[in-house]
Amino acid sequence: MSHDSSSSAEQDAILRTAIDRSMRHPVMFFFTSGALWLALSLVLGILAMAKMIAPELLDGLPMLTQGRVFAAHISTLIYGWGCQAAFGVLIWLVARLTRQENRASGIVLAAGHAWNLVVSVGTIAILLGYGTGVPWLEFPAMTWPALLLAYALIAIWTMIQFRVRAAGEVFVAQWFAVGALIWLPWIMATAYALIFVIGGNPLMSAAVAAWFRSGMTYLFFLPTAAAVAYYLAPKITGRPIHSYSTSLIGFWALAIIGPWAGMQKLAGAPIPYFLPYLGAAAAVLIGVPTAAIAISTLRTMCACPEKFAASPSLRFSAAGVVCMLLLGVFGVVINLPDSTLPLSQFSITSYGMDILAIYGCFSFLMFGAIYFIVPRVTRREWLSKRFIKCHFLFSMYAVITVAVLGVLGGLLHGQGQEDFKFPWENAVARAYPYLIATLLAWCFVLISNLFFFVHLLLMWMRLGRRSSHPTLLGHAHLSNPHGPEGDIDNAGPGSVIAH
Amino acid sequence: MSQDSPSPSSSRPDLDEVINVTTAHGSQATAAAAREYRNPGADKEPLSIAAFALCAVMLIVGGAVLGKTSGALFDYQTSIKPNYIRDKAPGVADDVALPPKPILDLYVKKGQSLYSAKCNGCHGADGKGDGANYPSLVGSAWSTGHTERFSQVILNGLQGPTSTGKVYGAGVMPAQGGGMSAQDLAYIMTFIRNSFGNTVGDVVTAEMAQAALDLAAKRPNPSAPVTADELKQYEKDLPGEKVDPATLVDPITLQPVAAK
Amino acid sequence: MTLRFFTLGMTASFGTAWLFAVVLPFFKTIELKPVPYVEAVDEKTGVYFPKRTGQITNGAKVYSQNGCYVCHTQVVRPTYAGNDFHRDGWAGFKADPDRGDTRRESNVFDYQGEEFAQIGLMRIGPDLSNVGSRMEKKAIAANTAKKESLGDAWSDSMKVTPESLLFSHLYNPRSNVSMRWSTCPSVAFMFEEPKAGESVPTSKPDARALVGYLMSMKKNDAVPASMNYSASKPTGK
Repeated sequence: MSHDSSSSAEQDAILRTAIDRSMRHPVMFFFTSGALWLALSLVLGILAMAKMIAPELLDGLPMLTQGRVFAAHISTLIYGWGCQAAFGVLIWLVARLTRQENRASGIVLAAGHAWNLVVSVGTIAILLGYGTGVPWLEFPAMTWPALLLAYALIAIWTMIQFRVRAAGEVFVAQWFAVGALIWLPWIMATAYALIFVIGGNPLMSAAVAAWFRSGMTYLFFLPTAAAVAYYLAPKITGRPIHSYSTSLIGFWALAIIGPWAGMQKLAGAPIPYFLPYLGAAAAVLIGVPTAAIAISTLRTMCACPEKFAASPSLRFSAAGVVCMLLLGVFGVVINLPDSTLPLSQFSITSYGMDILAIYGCFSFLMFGAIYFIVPRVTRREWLSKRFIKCHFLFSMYAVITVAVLGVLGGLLHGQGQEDFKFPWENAVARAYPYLIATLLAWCFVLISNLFFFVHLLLMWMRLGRRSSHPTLLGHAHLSNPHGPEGDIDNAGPGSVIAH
Repeated sequence: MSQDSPSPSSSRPDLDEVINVTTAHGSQATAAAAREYRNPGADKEPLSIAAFALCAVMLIVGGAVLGKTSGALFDYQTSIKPNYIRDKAPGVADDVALPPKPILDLYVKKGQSLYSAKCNGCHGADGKGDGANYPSLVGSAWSTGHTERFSQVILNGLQGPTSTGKVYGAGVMPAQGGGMSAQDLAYIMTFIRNSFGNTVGDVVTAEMAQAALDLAAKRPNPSAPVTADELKQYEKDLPGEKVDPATLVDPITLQPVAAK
Repeated sequence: MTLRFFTLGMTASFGTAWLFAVVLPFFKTIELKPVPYVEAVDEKTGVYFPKRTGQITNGAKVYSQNGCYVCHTQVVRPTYAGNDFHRDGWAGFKADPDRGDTRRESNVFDYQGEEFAQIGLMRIGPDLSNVGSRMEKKAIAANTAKKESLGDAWSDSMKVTPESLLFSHLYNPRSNVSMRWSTCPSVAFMFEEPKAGESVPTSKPDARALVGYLMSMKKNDAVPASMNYSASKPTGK
């Protein structure tokens, strides 16, 4: 309850508020611009998938060539939405966990603007035909150092906060958050240096690009998502995280296994023979950290079922963690070299897994974090629980569609490719239903994002509810003195006549 | 933000004349921050048996996948599976046999591409030479006559007059035997003897061509071209089993195939 | 967990993989080593070090910039990794009239001249490793059929070139009746405006570069016996 009389709780609340206030501008900027990029990437994604099914759609415009639109879609999804949402969450998370204000908000905000500028330039370049042709690294070669520099200016303060934090308990979420912040520049700089600067080895460049894709998913998006889960689960339920040792296993398993994965996408290519199978083994073993993270966070969340039903943050987080578990299980299923790897390698399973990881797991947890952070940072509560519910439901429909039809259906697509006695037309026909399913999933996400973006925009413009009572999804307590919807009570406690 | 004290009689004050929610509750903290729980950390529960079993299963599967590296782990020079042999396509007939052709036709065809690479330049694509510098191979006594004599001209080159007695402007025919395999020689000879209007109708086999190569190596001065005089000792056919030019063979392996 | 343990652990776990799976293989395989022929088995001496013919740099760039790698791959996997080898025309030809079985898996020399091997993301469209050979074969078949049907009315000017087949595909992938199912996007912006009666208009430099690149994809040359993984390969006489 908010009428805590103990002074240490008061101190905590004041410190939290100060931290939140110091981060308001960069965090809200990252979230809002990220949501905008998400909307753009969804439009591009829907266009790309539609063109895969009906190629005559919007034919003739060079900027809308399917290949370019798909490249732009993935790039905006990862660097426009994914990275920015992650940055916003990570800098807030580490600030809160180390109990320090962020004193360089101005620089972080400026770096965030720079990041946006570079991503915009890169996206336009791709659509104009200046993409590099390296999957997930399609921005022109000179943008990568700019992105790395902007990242450095965003993350360095957070790393300093971590370094100078007061001694005391280190929370699980912190390891994942700091891990993500360390891994990102390493994989990006390595990929940039080897592929674009040194070059000269076309096959291993392709292998490094595949390693980079896996690294972005498992060593940046996944740990950021895990950090959010490990922060929100105990915060919202008030219960301690279930099993410290399980979380420890989760982190170190991810750290040890994650960097080896990725090259299974090049199985059969003339690169050193062991690399793809090492990658496949790592991709299978990613199931271990995802299981560990899922088990410890879900058991924490489920310890408090009533909070579970009411809190939007918790609900999104739980869904995200379930998707994380699904990601791990599917990783085991689709990466078996003799049976399923030839089927999943070049079919839509790979795209479906990317969507499951980036949207199902990562984005859901980012939404959970955003629904938690924004009220604290803007000092307003969310306006409409129905908007939140619509956001959640449509996103859920999308993720279920992609998980079942995109990933598993992709295996059937792969089977069609492997049936060499039939003409290629058969394989294309097999892909159709699953491509349509993926298109449908993105349409659902676009609808859900509409609710989310409008809601977030209103909050950013400080039009949220002024209330001390959060916007919850369940039914409000009947005995709430603030009224059933948590009305404004700025006249002071007791001045509102209950009605 | 207005700091007016609330009037007790208004039940729902105007949005604009408000007291900040935070100050209403008497602190500098937001309501949201105030209602948060302190981060409770983690408890000391051990990994549950079910979770352990799940992880064990995944470790076993992962280990099996790792086993696929079959001894080539960290071997950067091997880019394909060690001891890899292609699997046969399941349910499909294995090697497709091309329709057999007469051996003469195949030798002539193969000889044609070799001739155009080696001999075209001087003797011409029609084998007629140019009358002054390079002799014609059409109807030539040496080309269509004994195979042994013909083979030595090709392998060693020729100096001086040709079969017609005429000395051509080019002077010396360069030796063509360097690096030539017996099979290639057989192709070229068969080609010349059966093209440009020549209709000798026999096949020079690889066996015969090998004998020719051996003979060329045993010459007293192998690096010198032959002369018309020297060729007199070679007026015979090359030793070797004769082959019926109409024998049907597989176009690739050149092995006789029973006609179906 | 202390900060020191955390740092050490992160460095060790990431560093090992970074070094052994990414950096070392990159530098150790950067130089292509020619494969020597074994005289007894291959019946020739020297080394196998094929050079890709044709201007591929510009074409590879056009291919990359237009995202062809999203739907097409360029790798023929060995049989333990997939069935690409057995599919008609993908690895070569099973019954080539001149050379018999010309099929082979992709090898390290196949990606020379390109900065980035476009192995590809998905296979919505067919693999392109041997698209040059396939187009040549298609052109020959088309010309033979036309010659037979036209008889004396045939003239060399009616000859269909493999390049023209590719230009037609790029301009309108669904123009060919047998390819109505294709979902390949048309890159008509790489061509001029069609004049009256023209089915495929004049190409711009980008289209020509792309076609040149695609025609260079003939990865079915004869390899030394040490790289021949057929069950019935020659073992020397």
